[in-house]
Amino acid sequence: MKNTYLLAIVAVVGVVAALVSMSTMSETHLHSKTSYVPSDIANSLGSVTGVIQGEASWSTTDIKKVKDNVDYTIKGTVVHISEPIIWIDPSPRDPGYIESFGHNVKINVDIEVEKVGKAKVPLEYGSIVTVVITGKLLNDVLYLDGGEEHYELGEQVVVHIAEDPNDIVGDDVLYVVLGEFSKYTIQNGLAYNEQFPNGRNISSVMSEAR
Amino acid sequence: MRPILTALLLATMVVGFSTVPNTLAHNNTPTYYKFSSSTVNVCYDIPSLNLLKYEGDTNKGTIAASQIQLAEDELDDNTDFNITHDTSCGTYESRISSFYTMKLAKIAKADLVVNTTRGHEYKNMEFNRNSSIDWQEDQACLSSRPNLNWIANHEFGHFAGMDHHDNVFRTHTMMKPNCSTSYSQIRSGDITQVNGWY
Repeated sequence: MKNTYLLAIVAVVGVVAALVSMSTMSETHLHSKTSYVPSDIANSLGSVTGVIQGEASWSTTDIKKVKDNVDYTIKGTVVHISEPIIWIDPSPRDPGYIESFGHNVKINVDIEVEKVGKAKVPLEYGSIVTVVITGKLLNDVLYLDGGEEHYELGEQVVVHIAEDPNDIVGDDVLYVVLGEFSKYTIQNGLAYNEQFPNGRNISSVMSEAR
Repeated sequence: MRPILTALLLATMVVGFSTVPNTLAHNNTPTYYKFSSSTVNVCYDIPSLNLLKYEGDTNKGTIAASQIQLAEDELDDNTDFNITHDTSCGTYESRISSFYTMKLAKIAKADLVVNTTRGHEYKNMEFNRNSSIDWQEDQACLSSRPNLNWIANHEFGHFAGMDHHDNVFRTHTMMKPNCSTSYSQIRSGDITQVNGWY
């Protein structure tokens, strides 16, 4: 009888463990389900033979936690993507570094404004906002910095933007605050990114950094 | 009655445990990002690490390197992956250094470089030297004051080949994309994953 009780306890533990595990597994499936087509900047660059991207670590991926850093939130269309432009690091690297890893490059992405969710200074409908992404160029291969967001020509996007006060990558550079986590692709009337592969309501995305 | 009850309980137990998936395994298996060898050389670019603001000041590259090396040891000691040091940074080897990005929340990155024409593969692990970030020895995950050793633990996970693990509810990995206490040491799932590769 004692053994039966023990078996009963083990059986219950087994079933509970399975149920708990299945509930977290469904969360994994929820996050890994992709119902949109992510953009790929390789489709809009003619001068590179390939694009490779590493990984980045973030202190946060929640835009609400850094909303005070956001100067602009816009919805718009990507109308131009520059080829990689070399920028000179003011703290120069040794020649071995550049030979191994390549030159620093930036890519300017022009977005035509269609709607403004937040603005430090007023932005007009139809104006062009240029955001910058960075990487390295080695042997015609673009090593896009980990965490940088991708764009494609003609893509509709929502982005949360800030101005870099340091003028190191260029003068008055605008950047997307959390990279791939604060740039959304608009498809089928919803806003998508890696964190929200099932899409979000556009209006809530437009107001999340206020 | 008792044999039937026992059989039913045994069946329930078997069904229950056999339904539990392997929570130690990562749900991503990158194919290009890990090294082909289990032994890799790294060097620490001290002049570059001197540009990090560490505990309020720059020019502390040697101290910063020692914190990052704790993470290197964490990976090296707990997995079958072996990391050896080069005393100085030459060409075509993995390098620990700093980089500038305007994205303040992007505190570090790890990039793989494969130069097949020269037969080399190496990684570039870099920590953000934006002056608004003050790296710390014993803070947690504060955005402007991140713990260098914790972040380095996570970066060495990338170094070994791991992608981000997107399930924020799991505690067996230090590979979530945003910093948490899970970054404080290498976790069971990470060890299983790395040992599966090397």
